[in-house]
Amino acid sequence: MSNDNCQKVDVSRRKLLAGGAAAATAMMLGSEASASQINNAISWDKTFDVLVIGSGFAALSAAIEARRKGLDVMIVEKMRVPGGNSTINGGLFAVAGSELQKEEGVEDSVELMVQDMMAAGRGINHPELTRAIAAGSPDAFKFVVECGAKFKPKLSWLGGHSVARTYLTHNASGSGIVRPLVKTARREGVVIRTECKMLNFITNDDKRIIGIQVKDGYRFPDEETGIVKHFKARRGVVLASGGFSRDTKFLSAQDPRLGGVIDSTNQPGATGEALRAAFRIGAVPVQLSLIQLGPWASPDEQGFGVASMFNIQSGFRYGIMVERATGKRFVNELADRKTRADAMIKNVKESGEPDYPIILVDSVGAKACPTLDRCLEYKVVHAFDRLEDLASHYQIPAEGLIESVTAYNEYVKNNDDLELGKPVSTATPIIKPPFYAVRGWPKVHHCMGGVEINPSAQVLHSETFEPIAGLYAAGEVTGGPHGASRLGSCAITDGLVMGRIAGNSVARNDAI
Amino acid sequence: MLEQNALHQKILDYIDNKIYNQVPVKSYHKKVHQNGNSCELCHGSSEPVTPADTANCANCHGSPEAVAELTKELEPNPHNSPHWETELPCDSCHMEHSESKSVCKQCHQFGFKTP
Repeated sequence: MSNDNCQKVDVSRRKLLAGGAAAATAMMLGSEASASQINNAISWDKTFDVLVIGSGFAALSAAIEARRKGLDVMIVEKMRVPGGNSTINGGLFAVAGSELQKEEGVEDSVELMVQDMMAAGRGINHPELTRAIAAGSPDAFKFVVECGAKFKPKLSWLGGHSVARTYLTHNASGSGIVRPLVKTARREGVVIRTECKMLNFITNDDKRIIGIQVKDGYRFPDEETGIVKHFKARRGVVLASGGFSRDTKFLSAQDPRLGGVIDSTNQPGATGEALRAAFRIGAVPVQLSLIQLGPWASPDEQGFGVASMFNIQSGFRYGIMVERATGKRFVNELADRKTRADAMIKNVKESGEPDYPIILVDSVGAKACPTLDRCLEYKVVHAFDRLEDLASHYQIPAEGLIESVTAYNEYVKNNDDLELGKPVSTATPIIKPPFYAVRGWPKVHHCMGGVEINPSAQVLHSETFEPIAGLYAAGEVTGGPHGASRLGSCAITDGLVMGRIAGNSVARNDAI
Repeated sequence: MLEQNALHQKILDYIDNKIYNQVPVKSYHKKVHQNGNSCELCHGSSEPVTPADTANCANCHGSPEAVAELTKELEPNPHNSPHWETELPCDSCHMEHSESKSVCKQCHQFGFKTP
């Protein structure tokens, strides 16, 4: 027993060395031996040219692109329905140099988008990936429109962006893109196999990926269900399995603050097993501890909810966020997510309990929110005829609140936020009742880290830093594109652009 | 009425399980299920070891599209969501042998009462 404890401690220490974690895990699990054993005696249950793990933006884009090159493609999805987090996200899609920007007179460029993404990422993004994503955004937009996606006729301006460049889907949800992609994929002959959980990658003696081991007929979250099968991939496997926001053990290993006390916006299947399988075969881990909190969430509802859209579209852009205890503003409401979330979680009482800040806007600013009716119906957002009533309801000192609103209105009038530097050129003063307000608190939203890839979406090996033959990755499962903090509305761009690149790359790979 | 039904269902489940030693089934399925003795209707086997096949729900209730048509007046329509349209399997929300729970509840507060 004591020997086991020592061994565990040793392994824990070695996990502090990022590169060592994969090697240590490989040795512990004996995956090299088991992969070899599988390889020699393999009996394939199914064979395709391309296998895609996951079914969100990146997976669907990769599958469709590979299929359009004439290949046999199957998507493997462990949940019972396709879409992952992509189909429940906010539907905000950043595009540099779009047609709508030209119509709205917005001056933008790939270079400016890269700058914004690098600034949000605190400069530690892998710049070649960031540039590939920004450069591919107009084509990705055309791609989804051709598949049937529809967007609102007005751009959004999200925190951390220098200009308005973000499309919003017609239904304010990522499903506005996912459902057209699912239909397109099926119509064009991509197989989407749900209830099929990827377990391990299978390699040949040359360390090339030749397939995956899965549990078919799996019923999430019951780990006893399903039958182990082996699927062959003649050209390659695309890993597009998303992030690990729902993997509380892995999450708290990277950032102990996040061990279960902060909720997540993600779907329950975002548990990162396929990512860990990639590490077992030697994929380079990148920036795993950089985990983003969504600053626009509310503690008064589960997950992403409806208040998030209120805050993104109305509250942060046309309103202000104040400390409950003082009524004072404390952060630029259009700063990037990390800046806002870090500032918000400092709002704590003496006891350490959250003292939720309040985001408020007037009726003019509230018009920008497509989900306002639901916010009010579900009592997450409340309406007030006077600021004094709002202050009373949330127990904010009325004089502090009114002082903040008065000062802010002056900044809007002068187009200069002297206090916090918020860009107020398109803002409106908080004057006209009713006033709408919501309690805010960050939630775990996006894992910036993942496997290392090159601009061709090939996964790199931690021994040679050369591509692992036959393995590609795209979307949230990869690390590097977003650095320390992902800029809002760039995840859809990343998933679609890098997914398409992955699909085209795997199609170029030699068949085995 | 639905609250009363929920309580009634719990009592029936308790009676089935503890007194008659049967797997509890929903009150509205009792007759067709012969009071819990007709497993093959859903499971395809009289001694099931795997979950029911939701294609068997469609044998009586119609296709997912037909069910969505029946509830189209509800806003939002639980059987035709923006996220999955009509693709979500019936037993994602409707549990026969335990309490039903709406998947939508993971993120939304629609107040659905799932029978």
